[in-house]
Amino acid sequence: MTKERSLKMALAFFWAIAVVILAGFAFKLLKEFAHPPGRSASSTVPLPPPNMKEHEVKLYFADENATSLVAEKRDVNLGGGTAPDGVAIVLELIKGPESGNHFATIPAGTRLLSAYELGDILVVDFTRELQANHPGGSAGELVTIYSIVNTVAENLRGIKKVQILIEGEETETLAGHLDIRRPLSPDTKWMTARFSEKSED
Amino acid sequence: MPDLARFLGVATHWKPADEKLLLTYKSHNAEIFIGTGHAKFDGRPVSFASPIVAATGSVTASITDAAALFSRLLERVVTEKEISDGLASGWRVDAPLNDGGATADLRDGVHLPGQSTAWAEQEPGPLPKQAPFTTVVIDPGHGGKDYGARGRGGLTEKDVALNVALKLKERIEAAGLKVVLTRTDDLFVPLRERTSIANHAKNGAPADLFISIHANSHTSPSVDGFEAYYVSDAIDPGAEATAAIENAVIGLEEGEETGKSSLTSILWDLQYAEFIFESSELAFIVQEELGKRLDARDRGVRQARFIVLSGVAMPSVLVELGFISNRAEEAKLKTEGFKNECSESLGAAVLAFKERYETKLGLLNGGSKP
Repeated sequence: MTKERSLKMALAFFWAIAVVILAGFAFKLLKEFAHPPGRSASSTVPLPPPNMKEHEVKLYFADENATSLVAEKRDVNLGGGTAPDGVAIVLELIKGPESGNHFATIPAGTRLLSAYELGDILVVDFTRELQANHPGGSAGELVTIYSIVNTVAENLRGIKKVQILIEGEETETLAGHLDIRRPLSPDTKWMTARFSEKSED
Repeated sequence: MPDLARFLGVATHWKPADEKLLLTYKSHNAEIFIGTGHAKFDGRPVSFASPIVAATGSVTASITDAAALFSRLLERVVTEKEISDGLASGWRVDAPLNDGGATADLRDGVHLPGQSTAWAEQEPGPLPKQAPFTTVVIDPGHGGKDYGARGRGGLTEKDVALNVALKLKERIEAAGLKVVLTRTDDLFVPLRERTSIANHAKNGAPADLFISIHANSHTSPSVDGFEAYYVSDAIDPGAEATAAIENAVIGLEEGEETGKSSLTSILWDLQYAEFIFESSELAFIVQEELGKRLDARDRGVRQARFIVLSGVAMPSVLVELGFISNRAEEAKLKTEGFKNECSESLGAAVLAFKERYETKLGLLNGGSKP
């Protein structure tokens, strides 16, 4: 009776151990499948292992006169491919400037939802706060849009234009002026103010 | 009415930034350097007897040059008669300034009938913009659920814009012009509707001038001043800008007899280039007039891809009267005095532009005002 019982117990114990071990293997396999180990040389994953490295990028923020964009250099971990690098750069831009003379261009509360490549276009999709929390005005709108477009296009090789989306949707304007229905090329022309000869001093 | 390009089956592309007009037909292409007598035909330099110029929306070429050019492009003899048939309202053809044309390499191998001065007398089709200056569209920015920028003192951009627009309307009407507002109340009007109103404001045709009134904002509260924007020439006129004008012309054709008002596609593109030029003039006039009256910082004239500006088939300007995000300017924007000064300045700018336009028109029509 007790012998039989202890045998049953041993068997159940054995099975339990076996299940735990198998589950462990399965979990490890799944984990490796989802995130292939970077350094394993014998990896059979066809993609080359990402070679993440700190790179200096130029982030564009607003200057104190709202006349143009000013660059701040920042070290960002890049090397994961165009779209992931785009994400890393935009996330850094969202953090805002370090210098006291520079002003943030992305409204508070804005998050980046995703970024993906379409040929030489990088599509960047933001949460609604980009529009809802925007202070408005032509000057404010121009610095927000072109801080994103110029920063992304200048730092990502192969990207010539940037399409801004809000929660996956194409939007006419951010604050009622600038056309963002189509992908935008980096532009600095709007920063140039011209004065007629008479009023120039 | 068939336009010259479609009439001859030649594709056109206008590059205002480069001052080039590209004509393509099958394997041939001609790259015309506007304002000069030079062109590249299939990449080889050629010259015309007289320069091909773009002025107030029309291409002026001598009929002999036009015939020679199209003969080359189409690989057949294109007679001057054929050109004139295709003209309708498009290419303005003047008699050649000189008969010589020793440099007119284009004419090689093309037999051209004797030079006819009869075409010189032929009236070019009337362009809508050559009609008298009568109608101004004022666009008070934002409205309704769209508040625009908001000051910390509670002032909203939509209110300032409407207020100044109504004051400006009174002033311009007093000068005998027709004024159409894109909104007369605190209403939300989509941007596309605003441009459509402007493009149909003059008896169904585009108005003579578009002025959009706004107040500015920036995260830095110290920023202040007024600025004027005009349409960016970074816009490819082959795409959206031309679409805007075509759209406007459709309205125009609905409003008037179709034959009179049709424009060639070359003309649309050139017309647009001309609007950019006139808009820049308008923007400078606006800044100058504001500068005379406002005790504020002149932030200059700028260019940007603003929807309301690229969507209207007429000279246009968007003016930012002051920064609502700046405490002092917000306080000023609340006062009737400041808003009166703004409307007075804008009114003076509209009339100065009208005068300049009419002087130019008078010159074009041989000194006689319409």
